[in-house]
Amino acid sequence: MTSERRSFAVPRWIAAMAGFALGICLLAGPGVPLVPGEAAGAIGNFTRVAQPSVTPGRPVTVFLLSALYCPFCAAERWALVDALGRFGTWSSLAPAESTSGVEGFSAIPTYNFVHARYTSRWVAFTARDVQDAQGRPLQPLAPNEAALVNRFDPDGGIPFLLIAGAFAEHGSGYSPGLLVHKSFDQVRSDLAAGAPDGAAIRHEADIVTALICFADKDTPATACGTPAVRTMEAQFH
Amino acid sequence: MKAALALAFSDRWAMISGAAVALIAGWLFAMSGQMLATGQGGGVVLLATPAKVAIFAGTALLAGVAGVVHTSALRLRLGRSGAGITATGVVFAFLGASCCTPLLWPAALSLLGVSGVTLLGVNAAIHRWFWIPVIGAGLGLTAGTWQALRAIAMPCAVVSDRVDLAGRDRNRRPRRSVALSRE
Repeated sequence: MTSERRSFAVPRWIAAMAGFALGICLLAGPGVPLVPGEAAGAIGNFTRVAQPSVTPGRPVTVFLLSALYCPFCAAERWALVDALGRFGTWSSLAPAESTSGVEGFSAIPTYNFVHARYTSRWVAFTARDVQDAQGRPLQPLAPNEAALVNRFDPDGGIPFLLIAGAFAEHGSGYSPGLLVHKSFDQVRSDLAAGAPDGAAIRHEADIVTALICFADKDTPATACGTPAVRTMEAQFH
Repeated sequence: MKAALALAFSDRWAMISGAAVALIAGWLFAMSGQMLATGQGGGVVLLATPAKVAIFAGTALLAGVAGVVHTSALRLRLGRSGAGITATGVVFAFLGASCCTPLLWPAALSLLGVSGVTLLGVNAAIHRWFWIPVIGAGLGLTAGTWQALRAIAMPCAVVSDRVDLAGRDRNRRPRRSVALSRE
């Protein structure tokens, strides 16, 4: 009898482990809306997680959580520089690259936001790079930023982009693989020339632009009036 | 110990279970480390360096060996020693599989109420100290396997004890009568 009881005890342990593994697998499925009932609208990799919180006359907030080593963050920065450049002015933007080998990608060219400045009448942009290229702590989060991460990025994943406190993107809008073996200058000239190689970046930039325009009632017209942005924005109306 | 290993690997059900454990572990590591992605053409793309793939293939193989030995020990009803250590090894292996994008492991912790900022710190620490969980996984799985092998080997040692001491201590009983009867 005793040995029978023993033979039951261990399968229970195995069942617990199997249940745990199954639970983890289920969690890997399609994302659960962070705000039930408010995730109907989705554009690109963005999900609508709340109602846009924009005070008239105040700029739309854009918050980026990233790290310098991360290839996905490196890819997303190109689109952000392009999109936010339509609403304001960048200065002190320096070239950088992600750490080679992370997630199987070689070094991905990008911009370094750590010392960059951005001024705009329509957008208030904050970027936090939490780790440098070697993985050392870099920029700590302010309490309000930590609250945003706790609420909208519950897995603590990077990159995390939040527009108007309402549109969240986890991961990059396109694959860093598109930038592999390209130099910073090559990517920049592809974008400037409207080359096909820059199409994915421009598409993601258009999405970011459309979301800002949606939150800010289509101002300014110079940024919000382009056909691509209008088409994307229409998905939300 | 060699005899215990041979005994474990001669058990067909233990081998099947070990293979299943290795395959499931490999799949879970690939998923939790987000090593696989869908490519532009719809195919599957591997997002990991050859070194990382080798490390996790090795860890999955080790989990498979632990699976064979534990199943064999269970079938001999000697099961539990080493199971806890093996579980620790599996946990470390999951930690080691994590990297910079949204993860399976943090998703599970998040469900348990751990905050996003704490998980961000966990992810950062895992990225920075990647080798610690990997070494922990290797040690945990090896130690768990060794413990289970010891449990399998124990009855054999008792048998030889009994034979050696038969003339001197007839009242001594084998410690693992269940296992002996199985053999």
